[in-house]
Order: sequence, then structure tokens, then C-alpha cells
Amino acid sequence: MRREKVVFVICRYGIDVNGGAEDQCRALAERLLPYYEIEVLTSCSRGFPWDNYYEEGVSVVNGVQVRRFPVEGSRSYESLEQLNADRLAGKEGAEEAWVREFGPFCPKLIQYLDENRNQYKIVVPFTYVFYPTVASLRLGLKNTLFVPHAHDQAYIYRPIFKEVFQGAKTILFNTPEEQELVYRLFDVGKKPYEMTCMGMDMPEYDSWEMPEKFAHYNNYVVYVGRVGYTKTFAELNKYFIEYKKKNPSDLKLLVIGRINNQYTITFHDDIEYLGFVSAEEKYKLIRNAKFLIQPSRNESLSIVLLESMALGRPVLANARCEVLKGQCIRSNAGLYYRSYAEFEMAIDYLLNNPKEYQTMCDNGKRFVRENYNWDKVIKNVVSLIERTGEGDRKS
Amino acid sequence: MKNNVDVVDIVNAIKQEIREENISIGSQYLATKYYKKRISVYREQKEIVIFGAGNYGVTLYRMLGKEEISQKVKCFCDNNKLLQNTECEGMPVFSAEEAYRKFPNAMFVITPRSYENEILKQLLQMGISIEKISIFIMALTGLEN
Repeated sequence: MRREKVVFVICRYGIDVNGGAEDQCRALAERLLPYYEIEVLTSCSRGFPWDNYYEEGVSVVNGVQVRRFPVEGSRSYESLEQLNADRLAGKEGAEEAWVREFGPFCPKLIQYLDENRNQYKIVVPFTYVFYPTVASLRLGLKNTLFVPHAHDQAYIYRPIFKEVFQGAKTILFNTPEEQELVYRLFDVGKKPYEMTCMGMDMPEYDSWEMPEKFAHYNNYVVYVGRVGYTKTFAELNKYFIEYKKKNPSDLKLLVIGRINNQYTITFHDDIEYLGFVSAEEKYKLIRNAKFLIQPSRNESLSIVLLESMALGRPVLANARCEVLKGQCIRSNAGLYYRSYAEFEMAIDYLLNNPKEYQTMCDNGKRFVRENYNWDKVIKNVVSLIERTGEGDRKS
Repeated sequence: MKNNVDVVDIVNAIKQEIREENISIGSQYLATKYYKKRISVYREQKEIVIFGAGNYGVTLYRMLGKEEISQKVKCFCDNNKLLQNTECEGMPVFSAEEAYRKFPNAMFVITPRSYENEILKQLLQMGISIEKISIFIMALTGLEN
């Protein structure tokens, strides 16, 4: 029997795409293959500024059919500022224009979805702020399962998102903090939902020793993620340099991840940029670190935080992100900071209290094992897909 | 194994230690000299009007709160008519003219990015003396991120 078709809509997709939501989308799409025929509609872009890195058309990524559409135009911050001013001035169409400018603007993707809407059991738009998600949720589909990845940033307060969230039939949240934010801002409390759409399967290696090329690092903390302004990386950079100035030692900060095109790096002897590394290298670098630092203010989950906990390494997270703080508290496997002073004292605590440190290592492993189990997650997601696909899907 | 770690307790103990050491806000957040200078000027004022009820205005208001001088802020003002006669952070939002009528001795702190020169000209034309106008550039505080 032909399996029912589920389509994911996301701004970018691929094995070498660097991003938590994108990783989560790919993991979920691949995990759902035994249950449904999965297709992904996405742009040809790999990252900012929006490019057309991948070829237009259909390809298969780890068994998932991916249909890519070209990005038309690229984001201009000057235009976004002007559109903000237009909106405040009450100019008609400014909000729609802002979404197009924010991008990636792929009108052909939306046209394709609109023309083929009836072949899909459900549509799963990922991450609320991007054009493909916004436009697909405004098509008036009755079978949309929305994975918003919402966090408390300025964009979410824009008026257009009231309509966007209303476009969902069901919602998949990552954390209670995300759900709380969405319920506070939008009248969606009656929509069916599930919590947690990510499982963690950590690999087992014969040896967890550091890869040879990194073997000279033995006393370090680690950052994993995009290196750019959006992840509050500049603040971490500044804080770590100050920490080392006040606390001289051989402790280093290893930075793993692609550097955004528009980001200007501040170099320092104790900060090493390793760039994009393989998954195995990443896991081993985390496992051999003292702890992981997650400085981002804008997270709706943070997979890397869970990876670190699963590998038995505590985290130090930015408390201005309610999700990260909540995850630290729920797991008892991480500390959080709001200022440099707290950052410094939290590092000292983690480095100088071995008994508590070890307990936090153990707590993290247990937290991930109990809460981010794929079998449990897929059962919940399939149940929500079925509820989303019930009834008339035509509009 | 008994879980003998409570991260909330640990972080609260860290916060308590910082309070006891009486570390200044500037040092706690690694603010720049520019920020410290601005704050010392605002600390000397009796009344402050924040020009701009957008993100930067709100951020400045909250910064002044952390510096324990937000009580000096009497209102926000904004050229956007949609924001006038509303509230921002629990404070009234007026037009610049209305704010000046109500608080003629206040220091007007300009927060909007990109429009500071136009606003400066507007306030000077209203008759506010240059000593009572300050431009607050968030990007220079070291605290924007």
C-alpha cells in the first residue's frame, strides 16, 4: 500500500547545513521514514546571506526526498530597517514586504506547495520567522503541524505572526518555556500539541580519545554553533578574554562551527577556531572538554546543550534565554549566567568543585536518557501527525 | 545515587556573593567607558525623558533600572503618533512637545538608531538647550549583545 505523504517546509536543509532547527528537522524527517513517505521543500540556500549554493530540483538526502527552490533576492539590512519604519508609519503591505526581505524568498516553493497541497497528508513548517514558513502557514491549509522554534526575540512581536500561528492546526513545541511564550503571545491554547520533538542517539566509539589533530588540547571549554552576532558569540568572546586576563591558566576556549560571512572575529591566544568538524570529532571534542558554553539568547531547544549533557559534560548557559535556563534547572546539569561576574564565578565553580561537577555530569546523562528518547518522541509525533491529518484537508 | 546538586542554589549563592562584593553594574557586565560616562551623567540629573519608545529606549530604561536610577525617568517620548498617549514599561509616552511642556528641566536622551541627528535638530528647534540633550548609542556600551 502506498504510504501517506508528509512534507516538511524549512528555509534550508542539508547534511552540511549548520543550525539547530535544521538539524532537528533533518533528524525528524529521517526518523519518520518508516512511517510515511517524507518530502522536504526548501530553498537552494546553505546560509546567510541567502545564496543559491545547492542546485534547484529534486535530490535525496539520507533517504529523504528534498525539493529545492531558488532564492530570489538576498536580505538587505537597510531595506529591513526601512520596512520597519514603513510599518510604524502604517504603510500598507510593509509587513509582507518585511517577511519577503527577511527571506529566504522562494515564491516558487510556495506556489509548488499550493498546487500540490492535496497530495500531502500533513504539512510541517519549521521555524516561525522565515519566509517559507510564514507563507505556507498563510495558505489556509487545514492540515498543518507547526514546529515554531519560537523564542523571545523582537521578530515574534510583529503583528503578522498572530495570523501565522493561527494557520497551524497543531503545534509541536520543544520546551515548556517555548509553549509558555507562544501561549502568552498568541491565542492558540486550544490547538492540539505535543512537547519535545527531538530524540538524542549518541554514538558509541571504540575509543573516546581525542582525534590526533586535536590531541594537544587537554584543558579547555567548548562552544559549538554558528559563529555570528545572532548567537551572542561576541559576548562570550569578550567574557572569555576577560576571564583569562583575570584568571591566567592554560584553559582554552575551542570554537566549533562555521563563521558567518558578516562576523568579524576577535583573535586571542586562548581562543581557537576549529571551524566545521565531523560529527565524530565534535562529539569527542565535547566529551573531552571541561564543559560546554552556550551563550545564545535565542534558543527554543539547543541540541548541542543536550548533546553535551548526553556525553556527560555539564553546560554553562546564558540565563537570558529562558529555555536554556529551564533546561539547566530541569536537569541539574548546568549553571547559567546573566553577567560577566556570574560567568566568571560559574566557571570557577565548575572547575573547582569536582564532586558537584561529577554529579552534574551524571545528571545530564540521565536527563537526556529519560526525556529525549527517540522511541518516545516518534510515538508522540506520529500521534500528532495522525491527529493533524484527520478530517478535511482541503480548504 | 542521591542527587546532591541543586543548580538554582549554586547560582543563587553566586549572585549573593556578587551582591556582597558590591561589584558595580559596569564591571558586572563589562560595560565600556562610554557607558560608564553616560550613566554618571544621567545619575546627576533630576529628571530624564527617554526619546524613543522602541527597543533601544526600552533597553536604556531597563539599564537605568539596574543602575537604580530609573526613577529619574519621567516619561518616554516618540515621534510615532501610534505610540503617543500609550504606555511603555509602565511609563507614559508623549510627543516630544508634550514631554517638554510637562518636564521642561529634564534631560532628553535620544535612543533611536539612525535618526539621532534629525531628533537632535528637532529638540534644539523646540528650545531645549544642548546641555539637556544626550545621544545614547547602544552600540558603544558594550552591552548590546
